[in-house]
Amino acid sequence: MDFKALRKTLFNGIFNENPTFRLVLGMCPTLAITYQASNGIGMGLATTFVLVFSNLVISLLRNLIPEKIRIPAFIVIIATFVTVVEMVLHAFLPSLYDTLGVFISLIVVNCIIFARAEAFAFKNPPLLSAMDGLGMGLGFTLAITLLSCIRELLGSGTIFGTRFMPEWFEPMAIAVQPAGGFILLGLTLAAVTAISARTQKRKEAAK
Amino acid sequence: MRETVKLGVRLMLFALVAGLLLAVVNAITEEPIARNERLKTDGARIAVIGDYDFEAVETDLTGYDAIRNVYAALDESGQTAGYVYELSSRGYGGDITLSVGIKDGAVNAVSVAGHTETKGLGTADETPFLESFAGITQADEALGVDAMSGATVSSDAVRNAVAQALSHARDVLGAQEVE
Amino acid sequence: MNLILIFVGAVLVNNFVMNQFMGICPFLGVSKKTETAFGMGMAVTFVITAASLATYFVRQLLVALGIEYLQTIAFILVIAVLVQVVELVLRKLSYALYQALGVYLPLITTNCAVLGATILNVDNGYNLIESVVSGFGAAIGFTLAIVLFSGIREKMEMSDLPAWMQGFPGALIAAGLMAVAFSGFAGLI
Repeated sequence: MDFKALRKTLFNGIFNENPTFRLVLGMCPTLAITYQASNGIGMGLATTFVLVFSNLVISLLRNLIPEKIRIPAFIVIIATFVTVVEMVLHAFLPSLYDTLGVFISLIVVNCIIFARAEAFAFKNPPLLSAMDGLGMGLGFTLAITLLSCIRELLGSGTIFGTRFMPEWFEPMAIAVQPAGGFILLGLTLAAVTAISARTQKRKEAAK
Repeated sequence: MRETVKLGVRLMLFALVAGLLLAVVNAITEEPIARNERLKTDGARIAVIGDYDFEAVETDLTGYDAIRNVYAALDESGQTAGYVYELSSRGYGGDITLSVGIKDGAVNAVSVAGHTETKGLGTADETPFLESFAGITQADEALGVDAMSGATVSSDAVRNAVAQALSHARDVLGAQEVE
Repeated sequence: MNLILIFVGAVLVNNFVMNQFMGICPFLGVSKKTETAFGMGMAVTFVITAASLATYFVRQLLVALGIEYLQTIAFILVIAVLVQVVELVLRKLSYALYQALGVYLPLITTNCAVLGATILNVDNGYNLIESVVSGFGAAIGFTLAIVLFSGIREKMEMSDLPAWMQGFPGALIAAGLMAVAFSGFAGLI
């Protein structure tokens, strides 16, 4: 087994092609549920689960799925795993199920999952595809957890419910409201773009 | 044409396997989900009286303006073990919604569900105040519970609601049982 | 009266894009020109309204069979089929309209506004008419948001933003300011 390729695929999803910051995919959950750090991690891991298994199964079945019906076949496979996540959360993590609400079902239409099925899993062997799913999933989890930490810190003065801001800090309600979600994601994206442009320049200068 | 049928059959096959898989997962998760759902609807009632089944009681509410709903708490054999009152009482900044559990003619517990009060209620201060109702059997006694400091109006609202629940349980429901 | 409340609520107060965060991908992706934004809005409106109608009956069927847990899978398949049908019918009936909207149609299946609208109808316990009105309202709200936003973005094209603000970051901040304006509708109902 080629470990180097597996590792490269994994890190590609987390950094180089981070689905949120680089590919700008899956924006709906990124904005909707990130007002609280625990939501970010919960949504991220639920999506990662679906990504790993849908990528794995689609890759295993890629010779059985005719090109013409691949889209409905993807839909069935992805929706199946989303329903599994939905039922498991409803049964064993009811409070997370309640806060994420309709957005758990909406993992089905998260463009990241479709994009990876079409661009990667349908063309690559199973293990590599599962690794791509894991990398993309973790990259997504990392990004939305970061954003939700920022929003919770500014909006409620806490991270994962623990207060981090000094006494005098007056929470900025807008950060946890929809408008704050757009603005803070915009600023985070701008920061990531600026930083990566800088490292790129430095790399070129080093050459 | 033939190809279309072939593709359709294959897709049906995928859907069938998916359906079977989900049926299995559903069999595992069905029971905990039902339990969670029950906890969500009955949670407030269970909190004030304990783990029972609940049944709405049709009763005369004239003269009891704070009472919204009355539920009988039924034990496993279907016997009435007590009552849960859902009340709403005018407080300082709006209505206070609370549940009162009554067992053997005495207050078992009081919990506040929702309110728009600014002070006292909703903070840590309310717990000892609500706990001090436990064990009370007389409406007068409920009205005499020490108020939360700085939240007289809210305290009055809660005391009044608990007193109504107690006297309704004794005068109306108690009378029904004797019949 | 109730229907009017549902409609106004869906268009303005709980605007799908600005308040519920649904349909963000097309909102950011196809909002560079007002004309295409309007086309996308119309296509989405058609599909959401039809999907609200269709999924209502699908839901009844699932409940009757006792397999509600297949809701997500059934709804998304219905939407995918619906999008295909709309595409075929448009091509036959009006080729001009097909050319205008055709490119957006495949994108609509994965637009979470469509699936979101149908699931919210179930969660809110709406009946047939309420479902259709709420779906239609949500779609009009989506169209309103995306058309307004495309107007802003056309102007932004001409402004001189620093490199790290160009593209998505700048667009998101503009959308945020728009969401502030929309939050003013909060007290309407």
